[in-house]
Amino acid sequence: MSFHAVVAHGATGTWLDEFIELGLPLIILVGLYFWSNRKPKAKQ
Amino acid sequence: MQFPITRQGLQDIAQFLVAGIVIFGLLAFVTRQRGGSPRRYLQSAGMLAGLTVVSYALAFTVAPNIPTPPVPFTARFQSNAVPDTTGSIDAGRRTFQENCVICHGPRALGDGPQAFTLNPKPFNLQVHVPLHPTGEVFYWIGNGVANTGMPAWRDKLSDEQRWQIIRYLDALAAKRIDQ
Repeated sequence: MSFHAVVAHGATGTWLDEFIELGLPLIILVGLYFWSNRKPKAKQ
Repeated sequence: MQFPITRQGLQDIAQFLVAGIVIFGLLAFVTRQRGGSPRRYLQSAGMLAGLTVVSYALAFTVAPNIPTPPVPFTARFQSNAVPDTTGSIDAGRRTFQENCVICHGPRALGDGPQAFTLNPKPFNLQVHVPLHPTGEVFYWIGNGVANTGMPAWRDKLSDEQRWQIIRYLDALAAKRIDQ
């Protein structure tokens, strides 16, 4: 039994559903976290 | 072409984003308390709020609505209790033809004579059975599906008969048998 077999399928019924529904928001959150913590560039 | 995310998927994404708004709000609060600038955190929370609105807008406009009836989490992990043999498949076929054909059709395509009176119409099981865990399908056969015409077969068919039906549907979907 694979991980994919125990989650409800989405629109495409493939791994793409999991990537879009879980991976994409995770990438957005992590990306924004790093962007928020970025040190401002020192002015010349 | 169908939109690649379901309404339910977009709602999941929106919930994720709302959780992100709360986290970034807290980070902004803590940063401010420590004397730092919370501007970036607040901007991030604002962007997430915008994405949440977009997610909900897409969910209720272009996204297909594919609700999955709820199943207890543990039921999903049940494996088929009958062996994958010709005998099981034949027995499953007989039970299916006697009890299910009127709605699901002779090849489980959702085109039985009574299907056209139902709302929602039965799904094509040759497509859907492989997309769900076996335990989930077993649960729906036994307990029915709320708000649809699918009745509970728990009292009419034995556990063995229901597992045999799933063996039959698996074989049908995999094109190992024709009907």
